[in-house]
Amino acid sequence: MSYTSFVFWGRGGEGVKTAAEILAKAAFLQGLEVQAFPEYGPERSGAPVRAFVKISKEKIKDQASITQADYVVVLDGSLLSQLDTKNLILNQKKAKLLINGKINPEIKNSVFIDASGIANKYLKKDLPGVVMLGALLKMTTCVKFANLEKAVKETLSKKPELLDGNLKALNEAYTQFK
Amino acid sequence: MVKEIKKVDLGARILASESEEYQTGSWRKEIPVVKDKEEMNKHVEIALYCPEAAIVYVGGKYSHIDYKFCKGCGICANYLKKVIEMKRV
Amino acid sequence: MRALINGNYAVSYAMMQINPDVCASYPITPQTQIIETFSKYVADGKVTTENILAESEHSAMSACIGASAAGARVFTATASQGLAYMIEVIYIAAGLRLPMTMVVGNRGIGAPLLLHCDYSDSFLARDSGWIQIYCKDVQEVYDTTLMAVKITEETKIPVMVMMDGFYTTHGEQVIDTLSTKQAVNFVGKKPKWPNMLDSKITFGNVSLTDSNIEVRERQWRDLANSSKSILGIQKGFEKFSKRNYGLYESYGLKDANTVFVTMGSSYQAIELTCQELRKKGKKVGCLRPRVYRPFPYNELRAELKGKKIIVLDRAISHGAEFGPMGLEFQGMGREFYNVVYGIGGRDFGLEEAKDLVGKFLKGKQKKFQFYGLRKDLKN
Repeated sequence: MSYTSFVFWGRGGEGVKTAAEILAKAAFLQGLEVQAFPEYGPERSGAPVRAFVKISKEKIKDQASITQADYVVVLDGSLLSQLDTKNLILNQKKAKLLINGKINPEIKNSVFIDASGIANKYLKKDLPGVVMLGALLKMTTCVKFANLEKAVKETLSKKPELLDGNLKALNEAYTQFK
Repeated sequence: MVKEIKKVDLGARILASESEEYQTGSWRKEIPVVKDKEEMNKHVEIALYCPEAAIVYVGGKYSHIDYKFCKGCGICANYLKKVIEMKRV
Repeated sequence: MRALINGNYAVSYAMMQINPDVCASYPITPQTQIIETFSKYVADGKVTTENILAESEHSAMSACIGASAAGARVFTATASQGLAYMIEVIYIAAGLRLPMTMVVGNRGIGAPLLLHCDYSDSFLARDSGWIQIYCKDVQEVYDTTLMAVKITEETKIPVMVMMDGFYTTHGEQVIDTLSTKQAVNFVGKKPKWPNMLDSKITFGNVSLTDSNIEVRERQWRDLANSSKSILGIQKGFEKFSKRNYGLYESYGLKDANTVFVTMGSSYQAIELTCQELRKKGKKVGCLRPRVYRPFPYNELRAELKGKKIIVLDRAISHGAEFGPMGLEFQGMGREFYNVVYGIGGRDFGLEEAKDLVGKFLKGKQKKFQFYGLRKDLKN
C-alpha cells in the first residue's frame, strides 16, 4: 500500500485547504488515485490548520490521517516560532519540508522559499498557497506542471481576480525555485 | 357504537371514512333538546361552536342535531340557554 | 463518470441527479456541506425540490414526515446532537411506516462537546425501526444513497445511511458516479401507495393496549424481512454500476481462525493489516457489517462459527458489559473479545490497526478493553 503523502500546515484564512485541494485536483486530472481531507476543530482566522493529500497509482483505501508524511508544506513560517506547533510540524522521520519563510539552518531536511514575497508581488495579498505548490513540484515528480496549472485554473475560475496573479506567481515559483 | 377492528394496517393508519363509523354519540350522559326551531334559525354561528359539527344547518336554516356524533358536552345549551336544554339520557 | 469528490458532495450530487420532491433539513457539522450544496442546486434551478430550511432538526424530520405522508420522495441529513434532537420524530417516522432517506455523518453525541467521528449518534436510533446501513468510503456512500431511495419505497421503512464524520464526509476521494440518466433509471418513478393527498387516510392514530403490540409485531416482522428487498435492490444496482454490495463485507473468512469485526472507514485499515499478515501465513480475516438493521445475525453467526472474534466498537454502552456492537456479537464465534476504539474521533489508521491486531495475535487479551488511551493524559 504505497502512496505519496503531503501535509499542508498554515493558519486559517491563508488558503491551506485550497492549496491541498488544488494539488489533489492536479493529481486527479493526471488520472491518479487521490485522497484529500482537511483537519477540523474550532475554527477561527489565524488558528493553525492542517490539510492532507495522498497520491498514488493504485486505489488508496486507508482513510486515516497522515502522521509521517513524505512532504510537509508550511505556508506560514511563523508556526515554527511557536513551540506547540513547531513540535507538531517537525515530528517527522522521513519528510522533506518546504517552508515559507527565511532560511533557518536549525531545521533539518528543509528548503525555504519567500512565497509571501512572490504572492504579494503578483496578488498584492499574502496568499502563498499556489506559490508553494509551484515550488513543491520541483521537489516531487508525482504531478506534472501542466496538470497543476489546469487545476489552478479550475479551482480559481470563480475568482478571476485571484486567477491571473496566481498563474503568474505559480510560473515564477516553478521556474525560479531550485 | 364503536366499530370493532379486525385488522391493523401499516403504522396503524386508518381510512378517514372510518371516523364516520366511530359514532361518538354513545359517549353522551346528557342530550341537548332544541325547544325553539325558529330561534335556532337566527343563530347559525352555533354550528361552529359545536366541537363535533353535530348541529346541522341546511341552506342557512336549522335542520337537526346529528345525535350519532353529539357527545353531550353542553356548549350549545350554554350558548343558547333559553333555546336548548340538556336532558339526562 | 470519474470524479474527485467528498462524501458530503457525493450525497448532494446523488440527490441532485434524482431530484427528490422534498428536502427538509438543518445544518450540523459534519453534514453542513450536504445541505449547503443541495441548497445551491435548488437556487441554481438544477432541481425542483421543495427545499425547507427548518428551524431545528426536530422540525426538519417533522416536515419530512408530513411530506412523506403526502406521498413525496423525501430526503434529509443530520448528525450527532441533531439526530438526538429529532429522536422522538425518528421513532414516529418508522412507526408510521413512511418512506424517506436520511444520511448521517457519524459524529459523537456530547457532553463533552465534540465534533469528530464515533457512532453514538446512529446507535441512539438503533432500536427505532429504521433500516441502518454503514458505509466505509465515498463510493459506497454515493451508491448507497441511490439504493436507499429504492429500498425505502419498496419496504415502506425509512432508511438511514451512515458515513464516518470527517474521514468520509470531508475526505475527497476518487469515485465513479452514474450518469444522471442512469441514476434516474435506477431509482425509477415513485411507486403508487396510499397517501394523504390521493387517498383519505388518517396518519398518526392512537393504538392502545388493544392493538399496539400487533402493530409493532408487524413493524418488527417487516424490518426483519426487509433484507430480502435490500439484497434484491443491491443486485439491481450491480447492473448499472458493476459494483456489488451485500449485507456485510469480509476478507479471508473461510479459513481464518481469528476475525476482526468493525464498521466504517476503520475497516480499511484492518483489512490492509490482515492482507499483509496473510502474506506472512497468518490465518486472519475481517468482517464489516454493512446493513446493521436489520441485523443479519443468522448469516453472521454462520460465518463466524468456530472462530476467535474481536469486535471493535466505535461507540459505548455505558453500564453494559460490552460495547453496543459487542453485545450483539457476544454469542457468536468460539472465543469473543470486544474493543472500544476511536471514540470522539481518536484516529484509527494503519499504525493503530497493526498494533491492535498484533496484540491479539501475540498473546492473551482482556475480554473487554478500551484501545488507544493516551498514557500521557491522566483520567
